[in-house]
Formats: sequence, C-alpha cells, structure tokens
Amino acid sequence: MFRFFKYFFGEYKEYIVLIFLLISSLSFISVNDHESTKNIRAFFFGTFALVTSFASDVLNIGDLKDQNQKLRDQNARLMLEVNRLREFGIANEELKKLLGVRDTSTHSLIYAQVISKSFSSSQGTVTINIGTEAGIKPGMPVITSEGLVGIVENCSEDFSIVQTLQNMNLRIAVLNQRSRAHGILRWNGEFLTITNLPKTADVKVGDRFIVSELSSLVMLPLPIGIVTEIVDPEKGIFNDLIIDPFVDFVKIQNLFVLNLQEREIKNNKELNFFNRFE
Amino acid sequence: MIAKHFHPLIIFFPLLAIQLLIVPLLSINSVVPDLILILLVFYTLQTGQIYGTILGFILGLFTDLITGNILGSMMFAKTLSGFVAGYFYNENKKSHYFNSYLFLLIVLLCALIDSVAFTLISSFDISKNIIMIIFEQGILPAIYTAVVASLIVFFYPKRNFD
Repeated sequence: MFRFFKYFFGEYKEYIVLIFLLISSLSFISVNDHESTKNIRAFFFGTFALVTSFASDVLNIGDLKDQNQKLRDQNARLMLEVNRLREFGIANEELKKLLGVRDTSTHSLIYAQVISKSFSSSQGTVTINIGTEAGIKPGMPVITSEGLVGIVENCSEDFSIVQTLQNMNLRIAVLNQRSRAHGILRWNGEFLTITNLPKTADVKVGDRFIVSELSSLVMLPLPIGIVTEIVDPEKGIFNDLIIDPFVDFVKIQNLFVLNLQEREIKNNKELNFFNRFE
Repeated sequence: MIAKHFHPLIIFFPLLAIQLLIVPLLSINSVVPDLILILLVFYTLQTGQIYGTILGFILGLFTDLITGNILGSMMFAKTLSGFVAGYFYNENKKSHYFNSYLFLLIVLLCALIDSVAFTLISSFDISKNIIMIIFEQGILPAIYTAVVASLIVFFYPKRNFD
C-alpha cells in the first residue's frame, strides 16, 4: 500500500500539488469576510502602501502644476455655485422654520490622495493615504468634486483600500433625479449598469442618477452619472441601463472621505453590510 | 542554492509597486500588461513545473492581499498559469527560450489562461457573452503582456555563462 502511494505520488506529484493548491485557493475565497483575514490584509496593504506612498509622491510632483491649474478653475466654478446655493440655503432655512423641520445632517470631509490603483478591470480598488488614525472606518463613502467614487473597504492605521464603483462586489441603490425611479447600480466588468428596471419606469437617455435615499451604504444624494444607453428597450419586461459615471476612475488622484456622523440606533437596525459602530 | 528560489519573491515587491503605480499610466482602454505573470513564467521556465505552481500560488496570495482583490482569485489564476508554464520547462532549452520569440508565445498562453481564470473566478456574469468576456478581459491583456515580455527577449544576454 505504502509503495503504491509512493509510486502514485512520484508519478503524479505535479498534479497532486496543483490540485491541492487550487483547492486551497478556492477555500480562501470563502474566508474573505473573516475578521482575521481582514486584519492580515490590513497589515499587508498597510505595509506595502507605506513604501509605495513615497514613490507615489515623487511621481505626482510632475502633475502638480497641471493639478493647480485645474483646481483654480474648479475653485472659480465652485465659488459661483456656492453663491447660488447660498441663496437657496437661506430660502430653505426660512421654509424649514415655517414647517418646524430641524436640519440633522452633519458630515465633514477628510482629504486623501490615491497611492495605488488595482490592475483588475473587474475588481476596481484604490489605496488611499489615510486610515484609522484619521478617523476612517470601513463603509465611509469616498467622493471627488464630480461625484461618488466608492466605499472604504478595509483600513490599516495609515492607509485604506477603497472599493470603487468599478468593482463587481459593490452595489448601490440609485435614483433617477428627474423621474425619481429607483434602481441598483453595479459594475459588470465593462460598464456601470442599472439592471432589471421595470419597463414602466420613466427613464430617458441623458437622465442623471444620484445615490438613493434608500441606500444604507451612502446616505447622501451624491451624483453617480448619466444614462447613455437603454439596452434593448423592445425586449423583455425589464430595462437595463448603461451609465456614464461623472468620476473619471483612471485619473482620480485627490479624494475626500465623507466622515458621516450617523445615529447608532439607525445603523444597528438597518441590514447594513458595513456596520460602522461595531 | 536555496536562496536562489527566493529571488522571484525579492523581485516581486518592487515589480508589484511598478504594476500598481506606473503600469496604469500605460493602460490602453483600461487594458494593462501583467508584469507579475512575466516574472512567474520567467522563473518557472528556469526552475520547473512544481516550483512554478507553488510560486504562482505565493505570488497570487501576496497580490490578493495587497491589491484588495477577492482573496483566492489571483492565487487560483497564477497557480494555474505557473503549472501551464511548467510544461515548457526544459533544462537544455532554458537560454533558447529567452533568446527566441517562443518565450512570448508561452507568456501569451499563460497570460490568456491567467486572465480567463481570474475573470471566471472573480467576475463571472451569466448575463454577459462569454466570448466577449474572454476577448476583452482575456485576450487583450494577454497580448499586451506578451508585447511587454518581448523586452526580456530583447535584453536577455545572447550568451549564457551558466
């Protein structure tokens, strides 16, 4: 018997090693959400990001002039926008007083820079240069001036991994700003899509989608993108939409993490994938 | 002799930094070459099939841990690629591989297997056309990886003094 096994292993050792390692790889997939896996991952990407952040800084120096110019342009445009919104804000405050509604939203922005980006077209992630020390927690939304970039997935002390909208594991409830039709946004490896939207839903090419108030991941109506195509509108009972995101995921460099101050009781009651009060 | 087996791990981390920082700047329509795969094929052709399979597993593990991929997805793909690359291992043909465009064909085949396995494990969508998935996420990155691997053929010393 022993000689048979010895012969068998000697003859087929390449295949035995291959099968053992492939089964090990597949079994790793099932422990992705374990706390210990997250800790090991935080250690590895934290250590690696520490080294790459220096290289990233050096690479970004060349872009500073261009970035400054863009930021000045953006600043001027935002100044005009702020003035316009201030007028709306004053009117809004007066109306709220009349209705007796209190404003409860409090959130601040934490500035971050992208250190590295994943090279997978289906599992888009970026590593940013702030972590738990700056108050970052998994589940916090990440934005640019254009709109929502993604959600913080994992944090070490000084660095965090952000799942971008171009990640097949991230799905977000979205809302058509014009018709108020709801849908679920996801990345299919090629496009941002909203699938299984009823044919009766009022959607047109060019409609703007924002994060829905029903989303338990992001509680603010952040811009997502516009509808560029309604796939096969004549077929089936559902519509699939292709969305062109406002954020250019190839060029993102400077980001803000939204430090949402939520109510603990609400967070615990909702079926929330990222429980921020754990 | 044993230290020689750790060479790819020493090269791996700087190479991954280049892959994450510089290679995205060279992307063509979001298609990027896979430098880690070139490293894997290079060392597998020098050392053997079992070594390549285990090396693929280890490089995949570190890549998954560092980049935020689904843990196990890159491990699976790289293990398979290392195994396939190992079929071409031949003690007498080592330098011949790196001096000829046969190396590019091996890289192309392994990159294709790597990309397809990774796509099927991490992002398989039943509603999408499988041929299109293999073309966009398999063949295009594989061709780009093989093109970059041609640098090794170009710069590899023509005479080997091993």
